[in-house]
Amino acid sequence: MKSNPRRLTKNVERGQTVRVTVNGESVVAYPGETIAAALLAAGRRTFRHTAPGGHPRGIFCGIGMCFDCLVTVDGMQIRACITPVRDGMQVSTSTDQ
Amino acid sequence: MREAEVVVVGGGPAGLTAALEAAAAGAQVVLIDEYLTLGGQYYKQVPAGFRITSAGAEGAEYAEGTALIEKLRASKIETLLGTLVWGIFDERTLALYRNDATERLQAGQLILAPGAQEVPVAFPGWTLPGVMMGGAAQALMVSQRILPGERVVLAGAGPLQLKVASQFVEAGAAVAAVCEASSKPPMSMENALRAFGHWGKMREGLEYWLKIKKAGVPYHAHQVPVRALGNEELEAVVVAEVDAEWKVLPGTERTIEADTLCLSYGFVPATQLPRLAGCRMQYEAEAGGWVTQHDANQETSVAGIYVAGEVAGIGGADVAEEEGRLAAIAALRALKRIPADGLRKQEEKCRARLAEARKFAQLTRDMMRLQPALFDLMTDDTVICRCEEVTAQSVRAAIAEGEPTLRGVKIRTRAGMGYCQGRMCGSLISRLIARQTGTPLDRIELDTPRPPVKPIPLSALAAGVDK
Amino acid sequence: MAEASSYPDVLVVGGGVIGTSVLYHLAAAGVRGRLLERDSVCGAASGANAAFIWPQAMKRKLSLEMTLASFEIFPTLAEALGEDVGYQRTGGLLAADSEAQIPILQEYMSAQPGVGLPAELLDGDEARRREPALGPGVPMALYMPLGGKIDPFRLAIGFAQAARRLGATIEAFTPVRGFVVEGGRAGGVLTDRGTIRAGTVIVCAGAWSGEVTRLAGLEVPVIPRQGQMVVTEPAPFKLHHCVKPIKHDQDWELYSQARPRELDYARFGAGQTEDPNLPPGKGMAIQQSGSGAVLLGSTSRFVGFNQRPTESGIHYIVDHAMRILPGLGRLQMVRAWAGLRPFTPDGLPVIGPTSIPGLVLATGHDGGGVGLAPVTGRLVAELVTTGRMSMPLEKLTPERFATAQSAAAERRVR
Repeated sequence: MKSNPRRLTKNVERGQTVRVTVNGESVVAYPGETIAAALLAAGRRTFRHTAPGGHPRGIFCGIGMCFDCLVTVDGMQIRACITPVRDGMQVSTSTDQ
Repeated sequence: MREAEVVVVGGGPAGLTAALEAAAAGAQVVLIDEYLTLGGQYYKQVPAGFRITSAGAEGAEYAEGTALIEKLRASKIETLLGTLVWGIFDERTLALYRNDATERLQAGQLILAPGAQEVPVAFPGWTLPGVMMGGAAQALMVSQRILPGERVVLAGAGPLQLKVASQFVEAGAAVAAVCEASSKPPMSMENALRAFGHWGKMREGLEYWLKIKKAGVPYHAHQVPVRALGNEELEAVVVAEVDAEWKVLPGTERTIEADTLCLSYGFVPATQLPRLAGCRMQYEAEAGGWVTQHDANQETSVAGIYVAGEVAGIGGADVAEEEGRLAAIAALRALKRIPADGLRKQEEKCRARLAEARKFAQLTRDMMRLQPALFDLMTDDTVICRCEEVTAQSVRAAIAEGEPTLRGVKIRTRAGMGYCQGRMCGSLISRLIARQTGTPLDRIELDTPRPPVKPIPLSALAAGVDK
Repeated sequence: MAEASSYPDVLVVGGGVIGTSVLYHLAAAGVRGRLLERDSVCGAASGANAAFIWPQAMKRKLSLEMTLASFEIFPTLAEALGEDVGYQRTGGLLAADSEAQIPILQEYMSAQPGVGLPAELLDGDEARRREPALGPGVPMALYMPLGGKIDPFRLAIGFAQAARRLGATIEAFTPVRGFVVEGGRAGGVLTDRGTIRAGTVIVCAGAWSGEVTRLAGLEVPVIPRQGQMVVTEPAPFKLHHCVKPIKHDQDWELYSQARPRELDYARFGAGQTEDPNLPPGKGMAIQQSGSGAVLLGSTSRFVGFNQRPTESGIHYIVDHAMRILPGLGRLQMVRAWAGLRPFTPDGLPVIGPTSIPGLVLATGHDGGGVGLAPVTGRLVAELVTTGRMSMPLEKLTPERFATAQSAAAERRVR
């Protein structure tokens, strides 16, 4: 079944959007949000595929301990669940190997 | 090299009260947290760029957490956020990673409050996107204000998942099932009677219970997940009934459509930092397994290093906050900031509150006690080491070849060599060793901790070290 | 598991690359062996090293000959053991990080004909053509085609499993507590689970060999020499060679002259440990493992059996590595550790029978154990089965220390 994660709006204001691209495509993102939150809200729950198995991974522990949620930013593998977005950030969800 | 009289590592409940107590007596305090917001996992904060419209609408925890953090801001405590303590060398010399560079900080007295992680439970399909820890769902809903999925199954043991389920309901998800492994769920008469006398906690638990009941959420006792199904992402969860020892009863499987599965099987102290510092551990099954050994003053086996909160044994936020205060008082006395019997009244009150808080913690511990059969859900082709994709079969083969330790299994299979350095697979491998060799869990040692406690870029290291 | 009263022909003490190789080669020669390892198989230096084999690092001609002999065995191992040990002849590049280091490379190049090993000086552009990850600031590199990499875990485990299939037994977590010496002859060892008798005991205990042999009443000068290592996450680029930086302030020869091995042993053999705040020492190499992770190391200290990395050691390793491979900066360090090399005063391994009949040593390989493992196993098997070794290894005899010991004792007293 297709999942539809979304932003909750009750009792919270987010400010102006910042520009973030994921694999070249623009996604909506707000200052302070983690990359994971922006990816989920954009409908992406698979953040990478393992090497060498090729299995899909997304968020597991959500607090920066399991390293499942790695995405590539500026050529570096970073944890999407605890890294905030930056204006102009370019995120890649494919491994470089 | 920079110095600070009292360094507190971890800005959750224990770290916050420790820092405040030390600073109130006039000590120079530095509080360090890896994240960009304070509060740890318990007092989850929204990001700095968000604004809460009405604080009153957020609930009691939000108010408590905000109050502590405001007190901190008003104090002279220096807070280093987004700062990782990647190593502890010599005597209380901390190696820090922040702002793309490394720094050193010498602590006069060191209070470690790095908290806990959730207990990983493995079964086929547990690595699919959509399967996550209860804490991950809470981080998303409470901090990031994101609903992780539309149709949710929760599986766990103990009262915490009632809260998570209630949060999902509040956020508008369809909660398809809450599966409690035990036959004696939190809201059973037996547990309710034991909770009598902790009225605040009881009321909180009741609120969650009523909310999910009102939403028509099916709540099942003695059930566990046995398989997660899906191609690229989670699509359905297979659950089964278990007996009183949590062994799966054949022929009771049923499939529930879901895009999200939240696992809440309790907590394990995050002991990497105290172990790195040379602190001795001891095994306490009731308190989460390997916990940091400490005396009544929270001091560890290494002089001048204290622990407070979950890293000293799983006990919840109230226990953590009192332990934080006690650790600070001990540190202040060691520094001679206060006389040897200074803050005696304060200490007595802390101990009284701590005793009370521990009583309730014992109740939750009982409800979260895991039966070994939970770890028989791992089949041969279940991935055990998520980082290196090592299956249970490989681990079992290594154990059979005569290597009944985490280190021996690591050498043979690479399990534990990846990014998370055994945080997810260590306890699972221990369970496999226990099962296969009959070795009790308290005789299965953790692997040797080595720096960095989490990965850091080489560029930060080459930027030079201040001598 | 064999009973404590079982009587293997040979008992091997130590389950690293040396011990498992010895066990395997004996088993292949029809000798029933039992191996006792105090911790995990491949758990000490064998599991802590940079996983490369660099013949030019061999200070002594004999070690070089032995390494070259091992090179002939390595390609046959995959089939013999039924295990891919990850052996690859990648060759090595010794890279200058600045113009100031060029004379060092040139001097090293001019010494090569005497050593008898092929070497080629490359200018920076040619070096980068062959190894794109080298930084733009590298002006020159020395290419040495001999040299390669291996997976030391798979090597030791491969030897162990093959030995088992041939009837040998292996027991981990079984430290040796003492020796059985009867009528002047070694007849077995004492363990926590009882006495184990054997016709011959072979000590392959690496940095612990001095301590183990002392239990038999024999003094053999093998002491631990610590080396620190760093490993990264898998890299998105490929390293085609083993790459070595030149140490910044001192080249190898100068260092050796300033710190002769005999002096090191005289000071630290007596149990003193070195000030951990001294500069970390020599011997760096950078190697990419099968998973793509990059191994960086190492350092050199005498700190007893301490296996903890230090902050200065980590910075030192990373700093030197990045001078020639700046692309490493983007990678994260995942773990740092330290291993203990078995150091001897003259830099040669200790292989051969001791003054106690029935007690044989195969240890002291310092930083070259992985490369020397196959040939050591073969030679020890020859010794046990025929009484002789096919290489003239008188220089490696444990007995050579007997006279040296009294001289050293004198120096310590002074």
